[in-house]
Amino acid sequence: MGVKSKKEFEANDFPILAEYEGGSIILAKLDDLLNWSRSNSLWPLTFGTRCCAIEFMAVGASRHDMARFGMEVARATPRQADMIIISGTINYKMAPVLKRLYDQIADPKYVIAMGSCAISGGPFFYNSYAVVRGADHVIPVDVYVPGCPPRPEALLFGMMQLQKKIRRERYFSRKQKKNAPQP
Amino acid sequence: MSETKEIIISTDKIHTDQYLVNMGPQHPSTHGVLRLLVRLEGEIVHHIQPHVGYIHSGIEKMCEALSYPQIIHLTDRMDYLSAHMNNEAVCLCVENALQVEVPERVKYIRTIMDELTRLQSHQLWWCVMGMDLGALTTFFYGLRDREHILDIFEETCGARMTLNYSLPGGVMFDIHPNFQKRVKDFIKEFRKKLPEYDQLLTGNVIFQERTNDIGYLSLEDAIAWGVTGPSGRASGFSCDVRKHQPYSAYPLVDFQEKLDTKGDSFTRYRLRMRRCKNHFASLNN
Amino acid sequence: MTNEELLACLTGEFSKAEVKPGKQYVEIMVNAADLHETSVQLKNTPALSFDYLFCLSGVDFPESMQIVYHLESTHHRHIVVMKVNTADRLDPKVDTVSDVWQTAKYHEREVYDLLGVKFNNHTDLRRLFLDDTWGFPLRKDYKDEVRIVER
Ligand code: SF4
Repeated sequence: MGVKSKKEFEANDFPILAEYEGGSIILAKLDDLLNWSRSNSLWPLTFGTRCCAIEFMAVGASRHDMARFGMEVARATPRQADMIIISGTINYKMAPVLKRLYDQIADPKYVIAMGSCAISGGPFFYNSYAVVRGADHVIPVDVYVPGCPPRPEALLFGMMQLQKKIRRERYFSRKQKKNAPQP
Repeated sequence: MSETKEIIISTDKIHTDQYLVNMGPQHPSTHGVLRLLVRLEGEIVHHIQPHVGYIHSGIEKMCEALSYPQIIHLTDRMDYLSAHMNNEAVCLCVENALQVEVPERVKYIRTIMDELTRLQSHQLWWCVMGMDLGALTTFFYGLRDREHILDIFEETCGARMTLNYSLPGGVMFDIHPNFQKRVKDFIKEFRKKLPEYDQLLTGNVIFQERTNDIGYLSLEDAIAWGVTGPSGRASGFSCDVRKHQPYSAYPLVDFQEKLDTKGDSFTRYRLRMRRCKNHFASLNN
Repeated sequence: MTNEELLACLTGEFSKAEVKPGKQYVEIMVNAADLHETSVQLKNTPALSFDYLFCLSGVDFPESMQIVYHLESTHHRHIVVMKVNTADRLDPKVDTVSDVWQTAKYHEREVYDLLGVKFNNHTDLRRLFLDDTWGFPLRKDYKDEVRIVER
């Protein structure tokens, strides 16, 4: 188990995690088990506000079929979900609702920002008085999927990136940095 | 014996209070974001107060600073299921104001694209209506067929949903050489499937129970509240713009406006189904 | 009725209003004081019977706000455009027509929300899209230094 140097990471991976790497084999294996189960049953919350939501539905349906990645169980309540796919525009009226939904999801929780609206305000970036310029002003985002709307394949790729990120996580075998603040 | 009697009398006197339920803005059956404050008594809905504006994005204000061809790209984000019609509305408006006459071919292309857009919108409506009632099969069937139309769009203009195909004075590019063949193939295929889908959902007892005689809307109400489209026509309100103020190539297309008078949800459903069939007539031309 | 017949009929019917043939539809310019009375008359006169309000919009002009009503008769299939100017631009007020055409209830709320036109006698005049602390964004002099770039 383990990463020997930062060079092993590809461009899209998360070199910062390497610094926290360490721990014994048993704990690392335990982590792997945890990550494996978490990453293969990510249940998204049905949170669609705009056009991207229709593409999200298309991803769930027959041709693209996100059930292949264990994500088909879209939940209507945040308490049963593991992640939010923010598909659509977030405006100032919706932002508190989004924050509240995010707070209700049990840890660990992940966020995918789908479409340029959720990334930066997208087509409503200039001169719109009502749109939040990016959902990351409201809640932290893990993966950004650009496009207006992104193709279903792009969303699937984004989901796989998220899975990849989850597999890199360390819970048991995490080593504190020397000068990191103690909790 | 006397005890039973007492119980019967007492059940008569049971009454429930009305209570307020907040529904939305994030709710699976509000497809989009709508918040309803509902006052209920048991299963009876007494009053609904809608709250809208959760996806208000100020497009009007943005348009003040943009030129007409730029506005087109915003319009298909207004109603993303009928993107092409929104584009066309702006185009027609600009063309009318400038008094530009577009070529015949453009009119035909726009009309066919319109009908395809309507059809895919209806397919989505059909599948999610089934899904909301718990019939998940319709969801997969409907979206499967919708993909065929999206493929045609993608080949024509490169986008699946937000088309941006019309421009003031014409369309962006000519149709793809395969376009005609694919549309014809699709019609043939879908015409075969439609009766099957109809049987699948329409005959269902649960579906019938939950739509028949529910949500009655009278003709007067429909007109007074300006309910147009299939919902209005299900109440007998003849409001098809394609018939009354035909645009593009609609004067040349031979089709009928379907009307019904019963005005409940079930009728609305039947009507939309019939409209699907209707669209084929227009597409065949 | 064709537009010419409608024009003649409306001119005879409404002496106080200004009726003129527009580019596409007949236009009728009403004084703010007569608005409600005219609306009732437009709806209830059998020869006119404008029972369907399909568009209600507000326009921001330099000296006044204008409210534009597009009316159609579902029976006779003719269309008229009714316009009314408010007296004051900064604090505009007109009578509501929501008791004549119910659909105006929400349209008027929208106009109030975005342009700040107040409708007298409206039963439920609250803001529709934005919350109460916003300005009226569709007015031409709306200022938002952070989000809107002046050109
Ligand atoms: S990114 Fe584009 S397609 Fe997605 S919600 Fe925003 S406007 Fe719609």
